Order: sequence, then structure tokens, then C-alpha cells
Amino acid sequence: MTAVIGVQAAAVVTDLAAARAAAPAVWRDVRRYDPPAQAALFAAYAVLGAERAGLALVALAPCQAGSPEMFAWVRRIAAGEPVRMNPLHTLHAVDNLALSALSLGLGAQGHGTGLGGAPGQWGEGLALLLARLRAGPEVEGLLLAGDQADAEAGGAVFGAALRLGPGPGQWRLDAVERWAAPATPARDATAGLRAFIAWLAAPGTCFEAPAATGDGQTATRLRGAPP
Amino acid sequence: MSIVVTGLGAVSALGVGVDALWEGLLAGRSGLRRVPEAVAMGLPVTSGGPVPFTGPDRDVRLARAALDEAHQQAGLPPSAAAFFWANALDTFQVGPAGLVHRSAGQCFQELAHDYRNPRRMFAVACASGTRSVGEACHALRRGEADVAVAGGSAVMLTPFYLIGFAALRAVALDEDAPDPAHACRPFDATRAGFALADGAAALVLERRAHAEARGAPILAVVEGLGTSMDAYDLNRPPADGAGALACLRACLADAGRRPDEVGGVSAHGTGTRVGDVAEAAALQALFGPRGVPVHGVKGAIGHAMAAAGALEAVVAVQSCRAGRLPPTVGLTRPAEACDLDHVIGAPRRLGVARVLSASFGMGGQNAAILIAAAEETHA
Repeated sequence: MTAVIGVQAAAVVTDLAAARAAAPAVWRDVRRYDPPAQAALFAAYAVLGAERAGLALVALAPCQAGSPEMFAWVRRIAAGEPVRMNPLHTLHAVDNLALSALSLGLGAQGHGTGLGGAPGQWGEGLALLLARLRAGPEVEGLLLAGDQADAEAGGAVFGAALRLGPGPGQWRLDAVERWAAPATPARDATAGLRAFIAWLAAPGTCFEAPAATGDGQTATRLRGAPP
Repeated sequence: MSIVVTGLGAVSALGVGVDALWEGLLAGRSGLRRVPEAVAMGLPVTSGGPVPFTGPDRDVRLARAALDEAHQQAGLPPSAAAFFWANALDTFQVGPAGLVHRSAGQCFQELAHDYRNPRRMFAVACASGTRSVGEACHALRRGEADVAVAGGSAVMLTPFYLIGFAALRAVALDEDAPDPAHACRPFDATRAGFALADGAAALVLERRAHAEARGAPILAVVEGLGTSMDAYDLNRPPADGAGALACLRACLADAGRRPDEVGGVSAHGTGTRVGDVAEAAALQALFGPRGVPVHGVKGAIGHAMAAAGALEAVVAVQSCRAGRLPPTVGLTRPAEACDLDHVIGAPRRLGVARVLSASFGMGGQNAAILIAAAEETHA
């Protein structure tokens, strides 16, 4: 059980080509996945510390799942064409792909939680990870997410990851709260995380996430302190 | 801290309602059949477990049917409960105007709207439903809420998933399953894969003190959750079932129980060639070669993915209440590598009214929950 838990590292990925150039070994592992999974995994590998197999993992599924390749199969099947589908592209529809791929890459066999692609789940993921690290046995954990602007046409892709661990690190995280904030939610699993990571550049004691990063009814508030 | 079940709801290939599911399973009936849309499209897989809801928006309607039944039994409205749900994957269906894409996340958002926080959507493939029930139990223990609704819903009987899972060699092709009612044959020597299904199941969970204070019916107790990840392969488990075994052990540890305190197992039992062997290895290692009665429901209702574990949790509650395990439909001649104390042909009486319900999902995501009778009984 760890009394003080903080953000030890954070990363945002918005350019897959740059991420690929910077981390070719990661690209070899992730190239067969859909773009949100690739972005989530690039961000996750960017925040890794010394601990790998013993990390608690929490992954968010994309709000906009799939890939252009997968949608091409969907269109052909819907049109009644006989197809011999590439099984890899079935995996592009699977919501826990980034979590399982990271578990495989790290050899992590312990605690892993996948949350679905509904808006606002990033706050739930952070709350679950904080609760897990407080209870143990893991002392470090990773929250990762990937999403995209248009799954069928391709385009902008977003990834974000946080590594939490013992000690205040970049920012001590004390509590995850929710507050009433009706809004049209962004269909981007990474939106709240990316806003939080940007805020960490000049943090205070309370991060109140934009209402659009919530679930449409409530938004997330994080309480803590800079080191 | 005791977490109890006070309401159940289910929609499955055996019909709408918990009674239809339970009575069908006890009678050894199969709800699997030919899916007309798949036949019309000439797909290589035409067997599945459809439910009595049609149309692209059945994702929400079948979930609401299960939720309504559970709330009615518990005597609590949605506004009193937190929401832990698994919605499976996006669906791609063909409507009169062409392709209809339904987002799983938006389906969750619609269902979650009437509930209070926390509202969590679980996404760990075939283990999602089991995980949502176990995570609700843990959240209630932590004091995040007094009441939670947990479960899952899935629409999998669509051409894209029938073809996609056939490409992954996970479902039984028609050439391997000429009789659609027995397309899925868990642990059988002739097993050839699972049958996809639609379905939904909901459980109302409460802290025992909360349920007792309002005089609610206590149907069963959720005693623990265990999880693990295989970290082995994205599409198959290790043959020795190491990840599954770690998950089952973690569940018993969380519940503070020993293997000899378990009366029966609700197996994941998908009927895949590799998955059943791995699961059998894990169960043999935990309980001994023929240590505890094992049954599975997917031969009767198919594999409803995110809803599967929730449907199995409902059956586990009913098993504990009735003191009986239903037979495994589709299993007549167990495979040598799947040697367990299978429940075949007729229900089996439970020596101890406590059932371990296991789900081992794609990508190596494993979850198990332990469910016991409200007042544990011994034979």
C-alpha cells in the first residue's frame, strides 16, 4: 500500500509518423494494429520506467473504433460480396486490443482493466488505477488511451498515457471527483487525459477538466499538489 | 463486507427473462438455430443464438429488457444505483437504407443516463460481463456506492462478426456443425468452435446492510473477483491454462475461500479446440482431475461476448438458489484432454451452494467471480 501517489511520467502522441521514426522497435510491435491502438501503445512505451511486468494496467478503448481497412471489409460484407477476410482486421474492432498488446509486450500477467469507448471513461480509469495502487500489490500503474477523428476515412490520431507511482513525481494525485457538468461530450477517449497532461506544464492543486471531456452529465475533477 | 444480489434480469437465445433461461438450461434445451440473415447472405457460418429482438437498435432494447427485469425484482429504480456495464463492440448491420454503424460507447451512454455515478463501461472482451459484476462488488466494498447494477449486453449476430470470427477460426463453420442446435459443443471431442449470440443480463448488487435495511430479497452473495492476463498471444491461451489458473486462484483468495469450499464451476466453455483444453488444465490443476462438477451454458445460448459472463453470473445465482447445476448442452463425449467432472444430460445437485464462474477472453483477459447462496447450504 502506497500513501503518496503521483504522476511519474506523461506522454501525448498526435503524429504517428513521428512516433514511428522515434521508436522503430515499438513500430515493429504495433504496426498490425488499428491507429488508436498504435497511438495508445506509442504513448504507453514513452512513459515506461524500470518496472514493466509488475505494472497495473488500465486501458481505454477508443470512442471511434476500427480502421480504414476494417471498414472496407464492413462495406464489402454489407454489400453482399463474398470475402475472405484478413483476421488481423477483425482485431481492429476488438475493444481491449491495446491492453492485451501491452500486456503481451511487457509480459504483464497481473492486474489489467479495460474500459470501453464511452465518453468520460478516462476519469473512471484514473479513479480505478488510484484505488488499485492504494490497495496494492502493484506500486506502479499505467493508464493509456488512443482515439481518432474518423475511423473509416483515417486522419487525425491521438494517444495519451500516464504512469502513476509512489511519491509525488510531477504532481501528487490525491482524489478523483466528479461534478455536474452537462455538455455535449467529445467522442475522444484521450481528450480528458490530454487536457490534464497539458495542464501539468504549470499545475495547481485542482484540475477541473473541460465539461466536454466528461460523459455528458458529469465531468472529472482531480485534486492533488505540485511537488 | 458482504455484497448481495437482489435482482436479476436476462435476455438470451432461450427467451426473455431469467425463468426462460433457467428452465431452458435445466431441461437441456438449445436456443441455437439458423440465422435467416446469414443464410440469405450465403455466409459460411449460419448458426447462432438470436434473441426475440430485431433491428439495428436492439442493442439498447435487449439491454433495457434485462435491466427492467432486474430493477423490478430488486424494487429499486435506476437512479438509486451506480452502473457497471459491458457493451461489447460496435455493431455493423444492414438496414433498409444500407449499413448501420452503432457505437458501443454511445449505447453505453444511452443506458447509463438514468444511473448515478460511478458509471463504468468494461471492455475486456469475453471477460467483460464477469468483470463488470466483480468490479461492482469491489466498488461497493470500497464504499463508492450502496447499490450498483452490473452486467452486459451484446449484439454479435451480424454478418461482419460472423465472418470476422470465422476468419479468426473461433466460430464453428457450418461444415463442422451441420445441426445448428448443437453448433457449439463445449469440451466435447467433436467441438469445432463457438456460436455467436446476442444477449443481455443484469444483476442488482447491494451492500448486505443496505439490502436488509430495506427488506430486499437476498438472492445470493458475490464473494470475490479474480483477474489475470495471459501475456501469451492475442488469439489463443497457453495450453497449460496458466493465466486461467492464476485468475481462479486470485478469485478464491479475494473471497477468502479454499478450492474444497467450491460446489461447482460455471465454465467459460466456448467449444474452441484450444480454449477448452487450456481451461480444463486450469480446473484440473485447481481442483484435481475430477474434483468438482463443471457445467457451461454456451452450448445452449451461444457466446454473447460482453454479455456472456453476466448471463453466466445470473445462472450461477440461480444454481446456488436451487442447489443444482444445469447440464452442458452440446456435450456428449468429453475430449480426453478435457477430462473433468462434467454435468451431462441432466442437472446435478450441488454439494456446496457456491459456484465459481469463469471467463477467459480474447487477448488473454481473464476474470472469475465466486457466487454463494444467501445462506450457504450443505448437502
